[in-house]
Amino acid sequence: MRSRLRLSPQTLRVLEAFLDDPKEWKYGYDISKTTGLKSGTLYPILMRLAERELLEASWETAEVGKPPRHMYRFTRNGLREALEVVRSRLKSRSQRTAFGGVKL
Amino acid sequence: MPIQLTFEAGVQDAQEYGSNDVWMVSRVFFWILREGAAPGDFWADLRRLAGNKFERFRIPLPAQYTGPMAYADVRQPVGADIEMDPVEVGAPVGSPLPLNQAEFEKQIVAYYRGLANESATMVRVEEGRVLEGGSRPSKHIRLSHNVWVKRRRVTL
Repeated sequence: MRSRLRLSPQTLRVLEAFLDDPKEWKYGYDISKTTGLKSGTLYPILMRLAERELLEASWETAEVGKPPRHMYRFTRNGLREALEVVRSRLKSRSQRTAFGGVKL
Repeated sequence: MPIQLTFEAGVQDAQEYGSNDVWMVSRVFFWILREGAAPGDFWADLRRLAGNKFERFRIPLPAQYTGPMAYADVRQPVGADIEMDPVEVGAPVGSPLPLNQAEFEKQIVAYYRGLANESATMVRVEEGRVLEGGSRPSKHIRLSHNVWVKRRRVTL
């Protein structure tokens, strides 16, 4: 069984960007703009999310003279896990607030 | 005595160099100018270390290549920000001269960070093979053109 994916702040930003419109295909370039992550940071994250089948990838049909581009979107499992992560973080944040900033 | 070191190219986040679920491992290729040494064969040296990864790039030959080509691996935890988060540097392999490790690390990290963020075309993905360690064949993607070429000369 594979270990759980490391959820770095950057990985969380990527997941949140996909959650904005979870059923839509998105280009890496768009995710880069939304998250502020540069390609060298972003693509290894997208790759690992896809390896774990949290994202699916598809080639955009290329226009003549333009290279094909990859698009990404959540898999069903990916959406469920991303929502769980976000809920868990929100819960954790509210607990910290409720207990005066003390981490439980 | 100062050492003139030239970074030439690299491969980002490659499984063959050790990338996995925990680490992103990249390899940076460089060489050191050896005054008075016979000219080396740039492409033979690069192929010896990197196979055919750079064949499709028209790398201009350095004016005074003495070789040999050497490399060092750099790594970050998966999901790390290449620009901001710490980068670990492995020992240089194949260097003909001893290097000041602290200074070498500083330079290679600067080179690596700069490249990794320089261009959106540096890293490309394409439909790939079945992933190692996967449980079944899939239509997964995999970084396959994760190579960069950029010459940068520094003095240590």
